[in-house]
Amino acid sequence: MTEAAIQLENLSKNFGQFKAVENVSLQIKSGDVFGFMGHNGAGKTTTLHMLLGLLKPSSGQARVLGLDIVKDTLKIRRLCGFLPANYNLPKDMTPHSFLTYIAAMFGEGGPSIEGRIAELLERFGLSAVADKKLGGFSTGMSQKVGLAQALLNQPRLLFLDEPTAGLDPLGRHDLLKYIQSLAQDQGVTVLFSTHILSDIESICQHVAILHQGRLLANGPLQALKAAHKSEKMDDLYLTLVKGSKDENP
Amino acid sequence: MRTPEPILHLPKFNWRWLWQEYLSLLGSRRSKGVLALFLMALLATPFVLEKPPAELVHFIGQWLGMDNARFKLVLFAWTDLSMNKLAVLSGLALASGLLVSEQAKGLLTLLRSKPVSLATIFGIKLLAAVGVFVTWYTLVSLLALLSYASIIPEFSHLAFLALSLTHIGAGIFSVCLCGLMALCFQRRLNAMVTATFLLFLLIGTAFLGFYNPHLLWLVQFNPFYHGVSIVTQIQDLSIWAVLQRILTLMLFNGVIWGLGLWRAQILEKREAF
Repeated sequence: MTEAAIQLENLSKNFGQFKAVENVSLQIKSGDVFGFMGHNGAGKTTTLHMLLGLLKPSSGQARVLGLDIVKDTLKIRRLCGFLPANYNLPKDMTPHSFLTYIAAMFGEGGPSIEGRIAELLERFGLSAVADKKLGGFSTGMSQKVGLAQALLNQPRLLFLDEPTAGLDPLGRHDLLKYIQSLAQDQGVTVLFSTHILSDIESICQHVAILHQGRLLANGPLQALKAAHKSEKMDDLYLTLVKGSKDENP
Repeated sequence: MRTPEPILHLPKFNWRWLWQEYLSLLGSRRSKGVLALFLMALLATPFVLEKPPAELVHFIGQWLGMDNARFKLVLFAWTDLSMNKLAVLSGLALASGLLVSEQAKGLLTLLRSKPVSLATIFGIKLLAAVGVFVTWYTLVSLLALLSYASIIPEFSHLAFLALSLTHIGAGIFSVCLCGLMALCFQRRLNAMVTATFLLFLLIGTAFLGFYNPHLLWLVQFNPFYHGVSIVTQIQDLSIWAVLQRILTLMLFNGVIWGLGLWRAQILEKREAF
């Protein structure tokens, strides 16, 4: 049996009286591209931050690659890559200097890491602009640098928070294809958090739908569609969210 | 029985990261602005001191001793009029936005997703800011050392060197305090205003012990006093006198750096960032 890359058991996070995440339990298999879906404010980013140890859970527990998210925070971060939503790269740096900087945060440097940086710059078509200041980069170009930094440590698990937001259709297509190839060719587990339903539909085998901090559904995408008699992802999502509103008006 | 948690976890040191942080800050626009200010001070000081009013020389002589009063005025002007103000401005430019500006840009979450604690990020960033300040301070002091001897009569290389070696510690204090204020307020403007107020209060009272010897005990708590007090001993300089001040200032700076790390750990626990 494939070992679970991520395991959540009744994970909750409160900010004062506000329940951002409420009793979420799910399992993500190794090598899977797992879609984490929900609209803005659903609790996706809070969950991701808890899994990376950036926030501590109010209750419940979770393991990432077999490690406890409260006790083994730094070990988890060493093994994972993360692309946050809404970030700005330092304008005075270049893609090359920024990746060298990130490698140094892992204590890495020298020829081996230079090779890895060159490989990533080449992979994302950034070699020609490797020494240009990031200040002049478009959203798509910045996102490529962001993804390159997340992959620098050759992570076993990749957390992507709204990675396609702000990308043009071609950039989006390329990114989704690349994410898929990471899982298929290199066995990287990807937790793909987004509110863009078509992105989930095109690359994820398994999904979890989060709404107002609660898990509405979790399982193989096709099975969920069949169970809720929905042909499209949009229909599935709307059925579940409306159902949840009827239950909790 | 549960072992009590230590109050302060010292961050694991990462020279490679510190070097990258230093290079990145050194090449930034903020750092270039600081260098421009330092160079302006270097060029302006001799002109300011070309014809000093006699009463000013007289006062400086009274405060710091009559021997070689003209040269003491030069040292006073260099440290108090130029370098003290530049220390404040450098601190504000290089350290008053530590972690706060990274958070505003959304970059802090990305940095925190790496295997480092918030205290380590703060510690490394503050050390890099100190490094950049020391680089520009040393460069400009060396240029002054080489060029002022031909312009300023009675210039003593040894006295200028001793003063620069001690005063740089006071400048580092300014950078460290600005970094600490950034963490205390978590808002750049509030941190800048408070740091400016505190630093100018310290600078304004640094010479208090010279013209009012009854308050000499009070200025012992002022790093800027220790940064300038060697001026009174330029006639009979000793390595011990310089070393004593350097060690005192290292203690001040170590305390502020430690408080910053402690504050960063508290903020991380409170999930304030």
